[in-house]
Amino acid sequence: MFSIIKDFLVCFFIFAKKRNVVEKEKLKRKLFHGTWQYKEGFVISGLLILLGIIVGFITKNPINFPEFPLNLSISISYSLLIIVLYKFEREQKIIKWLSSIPAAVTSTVLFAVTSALLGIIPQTDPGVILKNNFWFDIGFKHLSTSWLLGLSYLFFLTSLGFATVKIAYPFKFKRLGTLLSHLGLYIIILAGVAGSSDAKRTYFVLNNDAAPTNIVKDFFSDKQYKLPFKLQLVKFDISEYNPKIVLVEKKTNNLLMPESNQHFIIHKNDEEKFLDWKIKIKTFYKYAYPSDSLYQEFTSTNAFASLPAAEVEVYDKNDSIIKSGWMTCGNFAWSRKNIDVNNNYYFAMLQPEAKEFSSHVKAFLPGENTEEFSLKVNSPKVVEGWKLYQTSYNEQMGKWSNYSLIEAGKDPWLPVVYSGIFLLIAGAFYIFWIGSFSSKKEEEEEKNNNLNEKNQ
Amino acid sequence: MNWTNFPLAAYSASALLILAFGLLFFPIKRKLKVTLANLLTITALIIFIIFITGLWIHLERPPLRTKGETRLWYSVFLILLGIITFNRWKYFWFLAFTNLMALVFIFVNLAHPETYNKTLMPALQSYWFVPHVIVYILSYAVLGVSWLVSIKGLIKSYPNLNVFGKIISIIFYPIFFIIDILSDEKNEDNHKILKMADDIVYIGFAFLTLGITFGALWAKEAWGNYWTWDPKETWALLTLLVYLIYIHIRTHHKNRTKLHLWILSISFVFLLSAWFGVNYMPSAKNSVHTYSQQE
Ligand code: HEM
Repeated sequence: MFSIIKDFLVCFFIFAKKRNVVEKEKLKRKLFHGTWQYKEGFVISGLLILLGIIVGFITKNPINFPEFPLNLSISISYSLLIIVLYKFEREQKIIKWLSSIPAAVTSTVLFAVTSALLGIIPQTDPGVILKNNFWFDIGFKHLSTSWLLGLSYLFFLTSLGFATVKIAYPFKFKRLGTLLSHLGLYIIILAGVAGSSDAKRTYFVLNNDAAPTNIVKDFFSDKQYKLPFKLQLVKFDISEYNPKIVLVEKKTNNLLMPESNQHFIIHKNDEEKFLDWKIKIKTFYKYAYPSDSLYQEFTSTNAFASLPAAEVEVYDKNDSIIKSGWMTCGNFAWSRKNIDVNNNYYFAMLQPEAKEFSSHVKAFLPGENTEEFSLKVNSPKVVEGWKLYQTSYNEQMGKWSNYSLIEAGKDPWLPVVYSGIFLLIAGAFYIFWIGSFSSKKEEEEEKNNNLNEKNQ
Repeated sequence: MNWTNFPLAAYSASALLILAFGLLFFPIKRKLKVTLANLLTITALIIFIIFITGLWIHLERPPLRTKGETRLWYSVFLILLGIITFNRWKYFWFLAFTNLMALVFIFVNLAHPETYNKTLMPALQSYWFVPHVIVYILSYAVLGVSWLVSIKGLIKSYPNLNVFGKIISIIFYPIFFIIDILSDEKNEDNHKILKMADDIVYIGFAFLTLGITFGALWAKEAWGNYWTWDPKETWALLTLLVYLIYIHIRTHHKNRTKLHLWILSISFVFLLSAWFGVNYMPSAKNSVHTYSQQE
């Protein structure tokens, strides 16, 4: 039992338990003397944690990566530095260690530990700064912008960078798959962090009949953004499905589906069974106005605030009419009207669902050019580096919405991150196909040995 | 073709999948078994592809909008990936698992036809959603098997078990037995066991990588940002890192087999926390990924 617990602990603190005499010799090795191993890695990790906390406490603010062009030159110089250092100084103790498995493992452990903190401790919302809060100051409340995470990131990235160069140089075709994984991950992590400061995103409202503007106010934070072009909403369009009819149980407010288990979407002359009753649509106007104050009659129209209305008949089991009249789902201007069946149930019309909505927009580009286009959900448009998305509208007013909610985003580093992601995916396919590298290698070595023996 | 044809397609495909599943446990010649299992499963796949194509034409849009339609794709991709993985690695347990999971989704669809019309929440309406979920299911399943393998190795590593250890090994014995039958491998020592674990971890890790990257691409589409340090994302990353540690430690120190087995078995704890635990973490209160609260 004792040995199980001991091995478990050894595993947990990857600190090696040494078995044979040669390794016992190594154990006596002083820290940072001889070949660096796991111990050095953990000591460095510990120092980085301490440093992260201290620097965080002194500076007290979340860190932001510098913006373009400084971020680009930092990324390129850092990568070049790694390549050059490996090329000319790879026999140096530190370089050798940084491109070794112990550094890879310990930096991954450190990165995992900081990520775990991030995954456990509740974080403040981005942009919020807590004054005089010890845990905030040292970074525990905003880990994703803390020195703690930044430094563990740096260690991880450095080790990964050296590993990538080591795998790539000298290049062997056999290592292409591994190279793809490492290079892909390196690119994602570097470009993801360096590019984060250049990424911008805002939601804003374009009102009907408003003048073109290039200063937009964020819908959620009220922060102002300046776009490199002016925008104007020419027309907002929405098309709706016909509304559905459901049977409602008064006591529980449960909506009951028809017998067929398919939603009953209104069409003229359609009929559908619900429990003991059948409902039949006599007349249906998609856009109608009540033509009297008692909602007895509706007329078709396309005027502002018109709404769907249906004239229906309800039959009982014996096919005789028990109720008839007009029903409507109501909107911001008119109240709803249901058809009562008995003390327990009534028929109700649901609000029509949007099928598609789009904004016809005019953009005034620098240099007197204009461009007109329409924005739909899932069909964004790029203008001057900003990607514009149709997001929402005044949902209470539905078809008669007085504004359109647009999202504008800019992420110039996205193609770089995506190329990293696709390298990583390619690497994953390779890994899937090849399986265990180490066992492959052993098999090959075994085969070679056998061949050698035969040749001798 | 529409949903009224579904029971026909579903029952015939299920019959084939069940046959293939049962076949895997039969003691017939390996080669024959592989051929038959392939034949049955591929036919089931073709039936599904025909049904989906028909449905697509009938609906005049990709059938990706409702939960029922999503489950249809789950079944198809599970069967497809099952066939590919089976033919690459010849792991019978893998095909058994994917067929079983596909059956579960088929039967949920048969049992809950009323969900056909319910719409998905907007964030889930993305082409990345289905592949993302599928590869995650598969990677968790495969890494789960690697965990079983590591437990087996650990029990072997400690011959002088106390009562507690013996109880554990008896509980797991039936599972090991089934895996042994289906994997066709006799694992004598820790090296052999770890070699098998390595292959399985690599497959699972590949799926995990795909899962996290598809998730990032999907998040970019749905929330405008590929990485937000959301607790669910963070725990997924953590799982990835833990298995990375295992993979790299394995490439060195080949003889520290006990250590490797321990790391592998502990990795699974992280995986389980990522899967189940996130909703209970203090940090989860503003996670965008805990759909369970909304349902
Ligand atoms: C998706 C992520 C990764 C995968 C799939 C992966 C996989 C592998 C594999 C299979 C090997 C063995 C290659 C061989 O022996 O030919 C390896 C080696 C190595 N990896 Fe990774 N790795 C990943 C990420 C990382 C990271 C993040 C680091 C560093 C922090 C790293 C550092 C190393 C190092 C130092 C080596 C040894 C290279 C050598 O000695 O030739 N890897 N990796």
